[in-house]
Amino acid sequence: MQPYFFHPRDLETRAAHLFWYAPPDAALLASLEQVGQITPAMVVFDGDRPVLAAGSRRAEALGRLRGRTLAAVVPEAADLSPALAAAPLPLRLGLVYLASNLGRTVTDAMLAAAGRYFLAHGSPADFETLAGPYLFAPGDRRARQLARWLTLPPDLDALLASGHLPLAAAGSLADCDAATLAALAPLFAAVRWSRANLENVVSWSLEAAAMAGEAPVAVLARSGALDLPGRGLSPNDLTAGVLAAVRRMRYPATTSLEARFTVLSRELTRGSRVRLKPSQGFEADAVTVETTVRSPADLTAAAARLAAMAEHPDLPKILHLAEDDGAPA
Amino acid sequence: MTGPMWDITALAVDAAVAGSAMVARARAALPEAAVTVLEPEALPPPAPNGGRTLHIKAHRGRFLRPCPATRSYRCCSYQIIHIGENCPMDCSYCILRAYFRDRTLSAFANTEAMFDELGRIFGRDRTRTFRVGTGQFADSLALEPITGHTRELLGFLAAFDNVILELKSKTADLSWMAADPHPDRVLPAWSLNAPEIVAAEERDTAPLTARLAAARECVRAGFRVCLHFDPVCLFPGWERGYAATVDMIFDYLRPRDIAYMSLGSFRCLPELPGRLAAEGRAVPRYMLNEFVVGPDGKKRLLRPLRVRQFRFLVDRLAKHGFSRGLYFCMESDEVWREVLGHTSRDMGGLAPYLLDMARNRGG
Repeated sequence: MQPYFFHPRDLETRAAHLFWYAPPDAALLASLEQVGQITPAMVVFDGDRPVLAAGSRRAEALGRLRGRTLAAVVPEAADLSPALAAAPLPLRLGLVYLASNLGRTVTDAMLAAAGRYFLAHGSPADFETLAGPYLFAPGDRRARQLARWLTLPPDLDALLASGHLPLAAAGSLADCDAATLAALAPLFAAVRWSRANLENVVSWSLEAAAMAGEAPVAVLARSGALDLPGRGLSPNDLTAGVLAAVRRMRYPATTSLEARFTVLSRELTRGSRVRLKPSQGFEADAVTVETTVRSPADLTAAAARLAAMAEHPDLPKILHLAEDDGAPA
Repeated sequence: MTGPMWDITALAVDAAVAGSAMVARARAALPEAAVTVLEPEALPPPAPNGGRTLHIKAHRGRFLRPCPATRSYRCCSYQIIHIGENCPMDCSYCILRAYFRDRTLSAFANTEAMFDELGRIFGRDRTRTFRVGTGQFADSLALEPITGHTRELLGFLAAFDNVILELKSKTADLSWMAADPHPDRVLPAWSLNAPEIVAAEERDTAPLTARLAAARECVRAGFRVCLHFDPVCLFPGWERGYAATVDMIFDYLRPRDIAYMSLGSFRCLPELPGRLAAEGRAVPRYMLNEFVVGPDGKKRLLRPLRVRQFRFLVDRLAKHGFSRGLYFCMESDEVWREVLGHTSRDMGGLAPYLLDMARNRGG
């Protein structure tokens, strides 16, 4: 490798192959001012044109300091493996950049940025075989998740970077068509979604659509979930509301039973500490009655309360809740 | 099925049963099949030409066993004669996918051991009647043209007038009739479903019309038959589909020709859809429904949806004059009461009721 010195402003610091670009922070500026450049950047030549391959933060910081040059090394063909030396320049630049960042913690958003760059300049196989070893330990499931993520529209990458969407949900999101993703976009941006919640929203939407023979967009619109982001709800309430709305579409009969159970249960247990639970899956004409007693007096009161419940006109209704009434499911 | 013998291109024969009559019959039925005699613990080699292997082996466990039912739902107490494992047909809902690790067809050729065990049990008290069947871990008749298993079993059972054998199948094979069993002691049985389910989900099975034509032939020979709507599946247009099948039944049979008929809603282990997907098969539409996991750990349709389908079938059957002998496979008392107005206990228990239906032509 040959050492070179460049005027920082002669080098482009925000080129596409510097896909993890971030502006220099105050600490780096102070360090360069006080100690100088300790680690050289890396430059390759595209013909006579020097191209910054690594060290964009250093280059940009030094460009802000009067009279400073950027020290850089220039790898020669002999320094590179035959495969890398033979690769097209964009791929070579991307790989040199990854190599220079080896050891750095790579976030999901950084994975997506790297993946987009390599797919723009090569095939998925190039990305997997050339860049994969720099990004993933053997068996890392993020490799598979990233492959699915890269099938999604690039504008979702910002939501990955902001933490609204998890890479782990890439598989579910990739099952959606473009119209569904577009319809879901306001929900994506409104909450930081966990994998489980997001997968439920997506899978319930798609399954409800398949059951109804409609487009997922139509089901989402009917669910009311798309109206919730504008209502000023807390993130938790918004998440719960969206999940409930979409679940009602996916499980109309089940959620109807649950809702009726809740209403009847509330009526039956009003003013008491008694709690009612339905049978598993509403399979049996039975409920579980729970109450907590801390004293004999509590038990006496609970017994009286239970005796009153036994006479309540709603008790038969809740016991036979799952009987089919012939109403549309 | 691309050929009459289920594409079986290999016979793997355990050395212990290599000299059995079943192996001789199978070799005669499949003259082109590659035959391998397996030493103990050896695994069958792959079948040539992309075909499948029939493993003829000795069964080491009990041959007569109860149906693997659960306590949470009412069981008909059917007892199984274990003749083999797996099925050459391919139904998307098949529980055998969960029961067995692989899909190798196997038939048990140590029939002497089987007859020893059965003879001891059936002969102990000749006043006790047994209702037994072979269609739980395999289709009763799918391999009959190859193994002759049922004919052999019927020959043995001729000496036991206290045993009624139900032969449950989705084929139209009647070669077992060559054994000339007493018509009161055999109940040929067919699984039925809506035409849409048969067409899309029951690969390589006989068409409904062929099953019902076979049933009619049995009736003409003096037998009564059993029919099983299991699994009843919920899909768009299910009413039309099941109505068509019910109506079709009575184009071929009279109500009195049917000893009993079961209705069973689709139920499965929760992992079944995932297994289908892993096989590269699309998850069927009927598996996309509102299921609950019941006390038996299986997924089943939400109760009101099951009841709705059962009521529809019961009403349609009643319009054709069939109501006696109708029962639910693995259902709760709640469902019995909701659909039929009584529980199996009110009939004196499901097992005695079905035994009575099986034994007595008048019911």
